Amino acid sequence: MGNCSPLNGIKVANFSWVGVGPQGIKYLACWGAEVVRVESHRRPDMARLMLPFKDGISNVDRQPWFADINGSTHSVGIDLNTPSGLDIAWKLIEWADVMAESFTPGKMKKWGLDYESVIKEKPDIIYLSTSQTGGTGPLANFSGFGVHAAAMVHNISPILMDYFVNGRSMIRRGNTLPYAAPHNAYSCKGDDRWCAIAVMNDTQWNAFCEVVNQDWTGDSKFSTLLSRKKNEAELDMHINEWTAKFTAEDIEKRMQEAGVPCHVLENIEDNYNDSQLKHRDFLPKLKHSVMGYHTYHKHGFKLSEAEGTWYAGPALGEHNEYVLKELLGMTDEEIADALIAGGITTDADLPVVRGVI
Amino acid sequence: MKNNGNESSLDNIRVLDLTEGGPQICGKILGDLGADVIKIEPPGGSHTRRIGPFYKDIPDLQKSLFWFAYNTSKRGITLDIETQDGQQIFKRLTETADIVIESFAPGYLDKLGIGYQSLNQFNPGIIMTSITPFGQTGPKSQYISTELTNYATNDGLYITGDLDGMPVWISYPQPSIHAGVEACIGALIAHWHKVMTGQGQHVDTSVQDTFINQTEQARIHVYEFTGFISRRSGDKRYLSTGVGRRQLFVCSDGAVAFEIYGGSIPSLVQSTINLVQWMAEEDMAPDWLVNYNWVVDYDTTIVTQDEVDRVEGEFAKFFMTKTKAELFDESYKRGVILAPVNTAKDICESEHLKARNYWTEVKHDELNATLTYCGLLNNSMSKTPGKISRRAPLIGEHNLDIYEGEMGYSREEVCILMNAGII
Repeated sequence: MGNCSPLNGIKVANFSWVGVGPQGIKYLACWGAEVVRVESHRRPDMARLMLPFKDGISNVDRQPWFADINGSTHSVGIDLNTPSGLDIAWKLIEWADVMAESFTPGKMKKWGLDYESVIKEKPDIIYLSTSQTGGTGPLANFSGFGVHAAAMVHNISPILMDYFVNGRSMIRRGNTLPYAAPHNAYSCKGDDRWCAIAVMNDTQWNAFCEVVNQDWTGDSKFSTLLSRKKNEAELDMHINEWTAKFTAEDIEKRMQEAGVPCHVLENIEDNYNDSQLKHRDFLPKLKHSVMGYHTYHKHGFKLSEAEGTWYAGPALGEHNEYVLKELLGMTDEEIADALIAGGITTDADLPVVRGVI
Repeated sequence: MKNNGNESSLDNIRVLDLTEGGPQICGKILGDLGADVIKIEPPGGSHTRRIGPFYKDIPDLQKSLFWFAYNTSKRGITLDIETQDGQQIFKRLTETADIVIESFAPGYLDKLGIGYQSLNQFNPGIIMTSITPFGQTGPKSQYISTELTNYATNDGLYITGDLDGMPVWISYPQPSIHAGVEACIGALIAHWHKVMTGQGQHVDTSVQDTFINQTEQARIHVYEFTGFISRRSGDKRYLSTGVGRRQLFVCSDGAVAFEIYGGSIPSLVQSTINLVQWMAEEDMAPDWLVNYNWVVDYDTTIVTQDEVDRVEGEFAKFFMTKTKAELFDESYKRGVILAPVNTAKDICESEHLKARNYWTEVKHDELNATLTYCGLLNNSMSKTPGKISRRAPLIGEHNLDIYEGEMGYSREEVCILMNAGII
């Protein structure tokens, strides 16, 4: 496998924070772009304050999820509420090809860093804005977090089209699927252990019956799809009686060997130890400057010619010197002035850190 | 180069789309962004066309709303890639293609001689984007998996459901759709590299990895640092402190997503204070609630279950007196972080989405109708917004355009291919 850096040379000024912004930009950071996160010690990213902290010590550099979604990124501490900080922000924008923000609509405008202002100085900037409700429209100023918005509406677009065309507003239907049975999660041996089984055609049904090897499978009540759908509650009851005798892992193995879709319902511990994820190296342990080695996520895809650049996320302001001197070319004097003016933030500016949920 | 508003982001890119099911969204996004996407189906039509719901509930391979939704902006041809002629035609198509998307079991295309290694030989810039439940290799790569079992491979299914109930999935299949979106990102990253260097590559997307990456968030970190295994908790969020706090409250005509925030983040605490203000105006806030010290006494990292229940009880009573719409409208005005739990109807009738031109009308000449689609990329980019350029293709709709018109097969040859079931 080669190891190219697909996005090599692309520079990103990331003003976004919490979840969506950084997670989106991580697709650039981990595939070769150089990304600088603009942070402020005076107002740390909420994601740095969420429980749990490593070893239970409240500290902005001990939050693992923040480090994960801000992997392979530099951090510089700037206060955008000061003229000196804004100056540095503009230097960064001048340096960048792409800038990103995820503030409540209107906020960037207050700082004079909105799209219209930026393209006056830098017409070829690629400016990414993300917010709950898109910045325009009756709900433009809605601020909230991921759980609050129907962001992934296109994931259910057939259901929405169903409403427009057929007047139907779909309701929940458990684990069932209208055109398959058995199709459910079944309770297995052990404490809160389950497996999912989905039989999608006659071949799989016959294979399923062979594995289960119980008389009830031969009942005409279950011999066709339509009859299984009609008697689905009874079918599931029989299956639960059978699955209760075996571990979910055992059932998964036997079903897969027979060609029946089946999988253990993994919990987070199962995921942590999952052999397929290990094979994909999907959950590598990376070394963080404060937390040491801990687990990170990679992306869902692998590239055959690129391994990707997987580094731990930054401590707050960890790269002040590198960014200000090397990337932006500021002199020691300019940096000292900006520090005095409060434009550059340091650990001394941190509030008392108490965790939040 | 001045943009006259008609350019799209991916002009001059050709994509061959062999996917089935949810992964089809990958080609849809590329197509909506302007790429020339050719959907290749088996002769007689893809089995994805069987997925409902259907237009006017008419079960018909040309009326699947699922097919419509995820195959916009694509032209369509039929081809049996298991035949010699089919493989030769496919290879010819690949010569002028940039991206191939597929979702077959690992090894299937290799066996047919049209896998990445083969295609790469005569088109070194080709990007093959594969989407499978577990990726191309590894102990589970040959597992057979559907959306339900895909769901089971991350802890999302395990943790969804009532506290004392069984695990339940989101009732409309999601994982492989997420994987289609993830694959699209991978393909575009690979495409950028190809534009810069001429080198193609294989993008290997796993549904399991994708769904974890996109939805698991911080649970693995919580587990690693505290040993806490997230479990089903209904409409509450349980933390490693063991205290459960509501994320959903029932109201008079449904439910709203709302959390009572306390502790050290001023903007979050303000949301709570603003709602209590409203409750007080309606005489539904006892004095102790009006005078509550949210920063100290409701620090969510140390508050007790009894206290949470006491406080939540007051809010719950208030919510029951209001509709979703009332709560949402007023919350928006007052700066309360709250959102309604929408039904499909709510989304489709949303004034906000309409005002943002979210919906796109697409002509369906074959139905003599115009259907409303999600305009996924309508507002995406200022200079090259995405747009649905055409409805999903009918079975073999562009066979003549492509085989005869573009590839130079004679009409007689195309008919022979049809007769022989090759197209």
